[in-house]
Amino acid sequence: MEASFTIRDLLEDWGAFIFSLILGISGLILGRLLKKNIVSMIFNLFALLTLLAFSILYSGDGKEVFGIFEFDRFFFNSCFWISVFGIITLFVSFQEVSSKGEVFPENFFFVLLSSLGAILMTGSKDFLSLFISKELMSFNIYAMIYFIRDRYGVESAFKYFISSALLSLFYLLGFSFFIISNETIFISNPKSILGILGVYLVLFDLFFKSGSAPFHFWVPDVYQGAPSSTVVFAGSVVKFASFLAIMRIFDLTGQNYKHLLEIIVILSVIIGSLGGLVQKELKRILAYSSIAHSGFISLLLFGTGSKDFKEFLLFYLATYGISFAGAFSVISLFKNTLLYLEDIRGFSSAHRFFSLLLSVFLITFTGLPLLSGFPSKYFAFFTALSVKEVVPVIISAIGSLISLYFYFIPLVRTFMESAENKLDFNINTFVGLILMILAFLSFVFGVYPDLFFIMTQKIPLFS
Amino acid sequence: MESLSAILIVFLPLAGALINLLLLSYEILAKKEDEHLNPIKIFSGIVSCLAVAIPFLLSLSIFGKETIRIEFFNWIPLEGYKITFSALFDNLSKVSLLYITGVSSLIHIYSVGYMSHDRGFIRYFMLLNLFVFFMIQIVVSENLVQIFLGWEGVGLCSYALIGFWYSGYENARAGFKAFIVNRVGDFGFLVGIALFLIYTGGVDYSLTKNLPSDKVFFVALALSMGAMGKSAQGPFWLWLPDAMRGPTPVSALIHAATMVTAGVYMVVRLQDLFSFPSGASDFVFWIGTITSILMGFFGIFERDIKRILAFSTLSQLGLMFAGAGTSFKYTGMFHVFEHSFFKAALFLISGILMHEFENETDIYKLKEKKPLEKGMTLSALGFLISALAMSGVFPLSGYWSKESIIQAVSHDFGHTGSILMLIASFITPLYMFRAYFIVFGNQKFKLSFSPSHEGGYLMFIPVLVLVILSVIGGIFDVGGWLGKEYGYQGEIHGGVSPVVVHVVVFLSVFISYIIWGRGKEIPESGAGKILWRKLYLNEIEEYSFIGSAVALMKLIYSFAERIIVEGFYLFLSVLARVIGYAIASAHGGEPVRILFLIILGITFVLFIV
Repeated sequence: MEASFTIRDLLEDWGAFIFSLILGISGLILGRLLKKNIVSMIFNLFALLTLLAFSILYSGDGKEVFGIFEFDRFFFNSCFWISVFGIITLFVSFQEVSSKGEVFPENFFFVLLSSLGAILMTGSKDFLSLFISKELMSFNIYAMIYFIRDRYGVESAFKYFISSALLSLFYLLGFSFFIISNETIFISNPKSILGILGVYLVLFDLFFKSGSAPFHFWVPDVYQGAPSSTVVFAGSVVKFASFLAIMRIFDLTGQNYKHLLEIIVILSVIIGSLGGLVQKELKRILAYSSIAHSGFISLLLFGTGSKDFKEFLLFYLATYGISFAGAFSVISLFKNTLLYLEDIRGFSSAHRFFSLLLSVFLITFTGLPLLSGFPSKYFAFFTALSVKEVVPVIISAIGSLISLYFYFIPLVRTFMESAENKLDFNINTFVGLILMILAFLSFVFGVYPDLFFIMTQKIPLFS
Repeated sequence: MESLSAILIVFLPLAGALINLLLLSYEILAKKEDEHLNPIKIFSGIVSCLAVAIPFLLSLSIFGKETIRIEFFNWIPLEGYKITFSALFDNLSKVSLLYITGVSSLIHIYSVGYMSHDRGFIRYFMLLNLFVFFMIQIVVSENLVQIFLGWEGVGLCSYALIGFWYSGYENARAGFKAFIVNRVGDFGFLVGIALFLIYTGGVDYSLTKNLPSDKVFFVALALSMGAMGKSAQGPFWLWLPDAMRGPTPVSALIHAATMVTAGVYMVVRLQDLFSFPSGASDFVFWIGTITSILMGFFGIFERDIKRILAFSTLSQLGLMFAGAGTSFKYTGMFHVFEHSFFKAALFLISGILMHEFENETDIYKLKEKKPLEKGMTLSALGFLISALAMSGVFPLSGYWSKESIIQAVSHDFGHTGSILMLIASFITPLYMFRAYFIVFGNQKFKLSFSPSHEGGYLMFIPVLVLVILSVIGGIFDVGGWLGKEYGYQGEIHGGVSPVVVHVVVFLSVFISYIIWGRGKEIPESGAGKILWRKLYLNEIEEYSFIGSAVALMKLIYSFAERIIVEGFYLFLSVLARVIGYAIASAHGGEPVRILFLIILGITFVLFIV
């Protein structure tokens, strides 16, 4: 395939990306020169808003760009949600960076770059661009983990870096197998057993990024040690982009991945829910919960080829991202690096508003009705059952039952026990406002999930 | 225009409750709970009063006009029959709306004064508005399911308001007791609804005529059990005296004037069912009469002014039941209407006394504080007038309704009925004037109206209005309004002469003066103790019903729950934790170990796939 394009095409398709990059870079330079976090933060905020506007207003639905990116409806929806999560991350990390008293304007630029990588990941049609955009996303996260230079940050960054590097090697190995088999870099049906092995190796890396078992061993340590604002990003955006990429690979290769998914679902749910049961630290609990949720999301992939599963996947990823970002944003407001359950005793009597919000997000994870966790789990179980995958669904149901325990233990500590010593907690108006909107969205999508599907149909607006 | 008024009447109190809920959430979240009157409280009070006063004015405006029927929505669509959420404004519901919204408005205004220094002000008004909403549901509903919604709703509000000061153990226990006792009655109600549904294929009142005649008795009996529970008749009387632990305006509104009369309302509303010659009506009559006499008797042996009034309520409810058990059902409703004025007045007066004298309720201690000499003229006069009205003295409000009940009973039950009614008439003044003589007797009478000594204008004026209504209540011709539909066949003849009744009443007042007017009291020891303990009925009922239930529960709990169920769960949770520790210990640690484990995972997956 010969790629031919003009400057006009370039500006039309990539204008928003180029403009946002220019904004981001100028914000970075200005912020460094003036030694002000806020400058960089605002420039990057506008850059992400540009991407948000691009996702809504762009009129090229279904267009192939350069032959290697496909700008379809799911790309624009991903672009929308990734920009939203990026914006949330900006506010949370601004709060976190400034409360630590550091000047670190690069962090906001990393958020932008990483978001760009994630967005391109969801649009990639070939393994090469997928690899490059994936690395663009990851590299910035290493730096974002490292911005607080304490023991935990360094350790987490290192662990995440070397395990990512290892899995990237597997990716490249699989990629080369695939090229040998199919003699193309485009994602397509592998022609030989070597090609199938190659696709599996690529998928391992993506499942690794999404934090599914058995490639999840980095998750608890990294989520616990990394700065909370980075986890807000890594938990919502990375998961979003990797699952969308997995969805695209499943779609384009047309193979049967039943056994792989069964292993991933069963292991993720069991490890996530039982491992979370015995944890004593809130961030680590949520890390295990994230593993379990990867299992639930993988349930949706059983429906590959059916009509609605892509919408359901978007719904699950977006609502899960909302509640995950919300929960970790609340955690980011604590001054403690590690947040043992004993530490949040009496949180509600000191900060009623934030403790209520935290409880909304935690209850969303449980999947109880009225909040968006319920419809998303319902869709997941429904999709898997409609292709007669009974055992993974039963195990997931039991797993989500067990996980109720560790979602409610923090609430018990928060609401029913009183504090022995004072909590160190930053109150931030912007973050509070964002959290309120997120909690509201959790509620709205919980009672009226159709609204989300109407929204996905409407993005991009002029298609 | 009229349908708009109807919609507003039904939904304004709910809107008031919701606004109060928002205010309450704001108050809790912003931590603005305060004992003093603050702007939020004032706003809440105004909203609540308007949410009830506007429906009252609208009820006045639609009164005497044509019947209105509005269907709001199809509530429970089922195959074969549908249950609508609708409102019917016929004569009966319009009359009921008048006293419900009217008395509620007055008590809301009174409550603003009474509760102004309470921390739970907004919670109180939220519950009160919600109560009015559910009460209106009872009145306007057209089917048994909607009335049940209101029925349980008022029960819920009543429970929450009895235990309003929930930090006291006794208060919480009283609320609990009311809740449990009402559940027994509601069980009967539910059985009645189910039987009605089975036999007629629907729940609308209009389907009563489809009931097979041999089944009417059971349906009516089951439904009357619900009515007895709510109106605290027969064995269900237990909960009402204890319910007086709530705030006094609540006792006045819910446990005297409105909610407890819902049972009577239901019997009158289902008159087709109850007037069928099946014996159910007689059952209602006998339960009512016995309760009336027995509870009036108990009222003599009580020192707490609110509990005395509670027993008087029980006694008067018995009279209403007796009236509703005759073929002249409107007489029961008539007494409900008139009773709401003087009973509310009496409770509000006791509220003023409590408000002025540090929550003192013992009548002997109140006497020592000499309320009359401190300028509480309205309280004394109002108490006297209301007591006379309750005794049925011409031409006060109670006379007209009580007279009609006595006539109706004598018409239906001959001499037996007449004698029973005379006994009931004899007992009422006995306990009412006992309370009056003890609290207000032997004090210098000083005629001066000073609201500042009687709780301020907010509390003074509602009481004044209610006392005036108790005097002139006879002008409301409820018999004429309801008569044609509910068994009015011209004048009732052949009953006891009103003169005889008056002789009995004044004899009773005289005896009361002789016994208690000079500061004597029936001793609380010896044989008197049995009377003071109400023949131990409370204890017997509690131990036999509640005690046996508790014993059974304890058995189930200690064996089935503790050993089998909890043991099973304990086993599961230990198992889960052991596996959890095993899993968790595999995570974390050296980076090399993480890499090793991931490669292990990949090998495992590849091996299986």
